[in-house]
Amino acid sequence: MTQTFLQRVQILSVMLRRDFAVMGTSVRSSLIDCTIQALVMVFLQGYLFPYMGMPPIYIGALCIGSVVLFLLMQNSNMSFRMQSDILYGGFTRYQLTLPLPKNWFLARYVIRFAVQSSCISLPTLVLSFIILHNRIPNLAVRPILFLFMYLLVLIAVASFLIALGLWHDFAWLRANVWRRRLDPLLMLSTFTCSWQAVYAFSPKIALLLLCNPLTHAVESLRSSLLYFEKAPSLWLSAAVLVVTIGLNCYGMKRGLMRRLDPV
Amino acid sequence: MRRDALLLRPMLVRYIINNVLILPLLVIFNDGYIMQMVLFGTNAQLNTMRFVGSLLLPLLVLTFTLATTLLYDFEYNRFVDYQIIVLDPAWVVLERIVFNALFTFIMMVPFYPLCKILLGAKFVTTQTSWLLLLAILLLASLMASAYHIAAMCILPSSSMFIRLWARVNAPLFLLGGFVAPWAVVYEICPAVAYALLLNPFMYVSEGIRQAIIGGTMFFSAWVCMSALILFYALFYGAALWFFKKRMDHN
Repeated sequence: MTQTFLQRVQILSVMLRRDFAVMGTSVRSSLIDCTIQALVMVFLQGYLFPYMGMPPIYIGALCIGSVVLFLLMQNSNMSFRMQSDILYGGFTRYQLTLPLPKNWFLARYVIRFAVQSSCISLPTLVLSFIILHNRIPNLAVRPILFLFMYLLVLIAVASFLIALGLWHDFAWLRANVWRRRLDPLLMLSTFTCSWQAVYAFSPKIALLLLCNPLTHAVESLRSSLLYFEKAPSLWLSAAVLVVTIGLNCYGMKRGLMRRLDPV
Repeated sequence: MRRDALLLRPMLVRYIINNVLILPLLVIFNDGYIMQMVLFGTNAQLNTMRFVGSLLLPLLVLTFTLATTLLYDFEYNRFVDYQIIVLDPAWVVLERIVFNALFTFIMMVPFYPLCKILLGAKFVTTQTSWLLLLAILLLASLMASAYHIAAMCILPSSSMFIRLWARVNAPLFLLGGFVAPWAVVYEICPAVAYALLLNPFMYVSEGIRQAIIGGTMFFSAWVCMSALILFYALFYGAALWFFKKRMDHN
């Protein structure tokens, strides 16, 4: 029993090491992406929006919303690549022949997606907050809480995109995933303005937006980095994210069975 | 073009649902209603000025989606190999651009009427010149299609899409007058404003603002139209050059 477990850990670590080695080759270009995104964010949200009449209290909130958008973009791109790999008989099919249960196989994808997307989103967030720290009046960083919530958000987003990738075929995914899944999730969440601001404008809309897990993802990150008088409870957000991860895991397992039929 | 139209026909309903209904409705709800009312206040005139640049997102997304078929063709089907036997590369590239532009234009036309229906008095159209708006939309579709066809000829593979969006498309769109006209950027930082004159999407948003709101705060319609034609020609030239290079065509 212990030997089997150790063997699985060994296989998983070898696969992850391979993934990290591949990731390592694109560190420079990831840093360029981060810098460009951070600079655009700083100019737009730190200077242009406040000049157009936005209260400065929302600068940090907008930055965090944009980071969640980058997370979705990164994960959807990785999901497309995973899909094309499955479709054109690439490395994924070989990996299924390894003596690893499908849960472990999926866990490896989640870890890879989470690590890779954090390599872009975290430096972008840190860089833009460092540049804008004087302009964000409600900055209240709680690092441990932030790391915990960020980890939950990473896993939730990664598992959602993997589940979508395994559930739908490549052609559908390419044509519809943004319009019919990700755009509604994004636009019907609070990624462009904080929940507090929406609540002040319309409590009904604010309560409706709480039905969207992405609202909880964005708001939990905001609550751990910024101070808002009114925000959804962190524990509620964490609970919603955990339930979302659970549902995504179920979706991933079903999708894997449907698409790849592993023994 | 007839072949392209035939290929697109089975997907037409999907395109209409995705690009005429879902995306515009979401953009109108988020950018036109929630974001304006919550972040910027209730001044309808100012909110209209900020919001009209939001068309850049559906425009970029649709021309990008249509252009990706060329890159997937380069990667997998290579139908383009047959096309350059029967047609000059200049015509092959032109056909792709014109077809994508016309389709994009048709899909974009309902956007502002839909805004007016849904936002009502919050979307001010008392000074709107609808004819000028159509002309700007047509030129914008042409320029954006040429830009994305050029990008597809330059990109080595579809795995680079994320890089195209992160490094080029997102800055072009966000700094292309998406939320603020050029004059406002000039007031904040003249150096950035001058650099933004090289952004073709700035002329799209300025042209649309001129057509919908009018006034001296935005570039004149002729400046925008001339710039869009110039950028179209530049992108067409770039697309042709990289297309020939990619196809190893002399």
